[in-house]
Amino acid sequence: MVLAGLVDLTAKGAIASFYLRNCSEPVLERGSLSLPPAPNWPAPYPGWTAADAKVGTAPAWQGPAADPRFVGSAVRPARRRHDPLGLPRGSFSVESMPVPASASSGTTYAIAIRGRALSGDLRLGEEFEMAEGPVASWTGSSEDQRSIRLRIAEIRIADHLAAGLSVGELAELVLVGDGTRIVTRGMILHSAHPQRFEQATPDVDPGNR
Amino acid sequence: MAEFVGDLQRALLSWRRHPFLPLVTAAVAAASGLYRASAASMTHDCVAPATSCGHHAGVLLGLSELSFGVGVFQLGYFGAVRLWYLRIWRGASTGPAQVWVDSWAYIGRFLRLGALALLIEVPFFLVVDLLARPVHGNARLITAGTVSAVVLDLMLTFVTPALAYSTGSAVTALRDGLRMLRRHWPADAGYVLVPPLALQALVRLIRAVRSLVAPW
Repeated sequence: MVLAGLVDLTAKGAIASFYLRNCSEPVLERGSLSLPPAPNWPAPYPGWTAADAKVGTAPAWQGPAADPRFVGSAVRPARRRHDPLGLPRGSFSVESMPVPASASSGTTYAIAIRGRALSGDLRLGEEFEMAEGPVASWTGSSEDQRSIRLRIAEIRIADHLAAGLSVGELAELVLVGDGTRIVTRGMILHSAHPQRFEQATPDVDPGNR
Repeated sequence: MAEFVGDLQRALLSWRRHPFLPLVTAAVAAASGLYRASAASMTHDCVAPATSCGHHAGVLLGLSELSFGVGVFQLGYFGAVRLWYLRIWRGASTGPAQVWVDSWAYIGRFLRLGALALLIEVPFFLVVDLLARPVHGNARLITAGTVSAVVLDLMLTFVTPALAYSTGSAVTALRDGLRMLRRHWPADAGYVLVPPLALQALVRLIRAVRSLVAPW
């Protein structure tokens, strides 16, 4: 019995290792516990002011095809509800995604998530609007912007296993639309004060693109 | 296969870093086996001499309650042990006390998975039992039971880690686990086939050895 238990334990470890390495489904949803950090996960930002996101290419867009862009994001738990393991449970909401599109010569497109869908719960499969358009700077007008609908495909939390969800942790949101895939990364903001929200002001450096 | 062997090594290396992991697992397995064996032995004693059964009744009741408790705890331990591995790999602090808490927290979701698995296994068992009609007696039941258990084991390979790591829903875990199995086939064949077959072989080997040793 003991021998069988130990053989089983080894197998469980091997299978767990394979699972954690390969799981690619939307792995964080209500009641979920954890998932391995995303590849190339950035080092945590100090404080809770910044977040970055890599924007994938979208055939529907007018911009240059393989131009990675950065979008600021901030994510916070919409509700403070933990499962018995003390790990995060429940939904998350994106409050704001300002996009400083300090692109050179107007070739970079700014992307901003807008609309009320960003308040309240964020759920897998939920749809909301995004606007995109050519702008020279973030101060540009909203003219010439087109809306596209995106669906939340994945919500990932980087590493909350040991201490539960906490301020300063990174979360990743994967949005998909028609040929569009956007991965945003942001900080978990303080949930004890739901109204408190500091605007994420990502440091976008065109030189890093 | 090299990937599978590498992951087995990774699991075994985790034991070296956290020896409590195999120790606690061995203790849980031993407790489960001990209570089961004792209860079976008591039941056997009671079948023959009816008079000696009276003073065993209380012990039997106690053992069955303990057995039930260990069984329930084991359900949660299935999840906790996976979380334990993850904590080790991430360098997070963990230990038996944490696993004790985790195990009780996991019981609900693994109980639901057990119920779901039963719903899948029973019809499958009946079909295998029907196909095994030429075999008579206990052998038929054992064949149907073993085949359905192994097939269920294969199916649940990635369902249990999905339930431990990704979702609290048994149905979602079943869907995701099966999807993963399908998507990575045949690269994941080692993970899917080797553990249940090795366990079945081991259990049969132990039984064979025991039956050889028992007369003495």
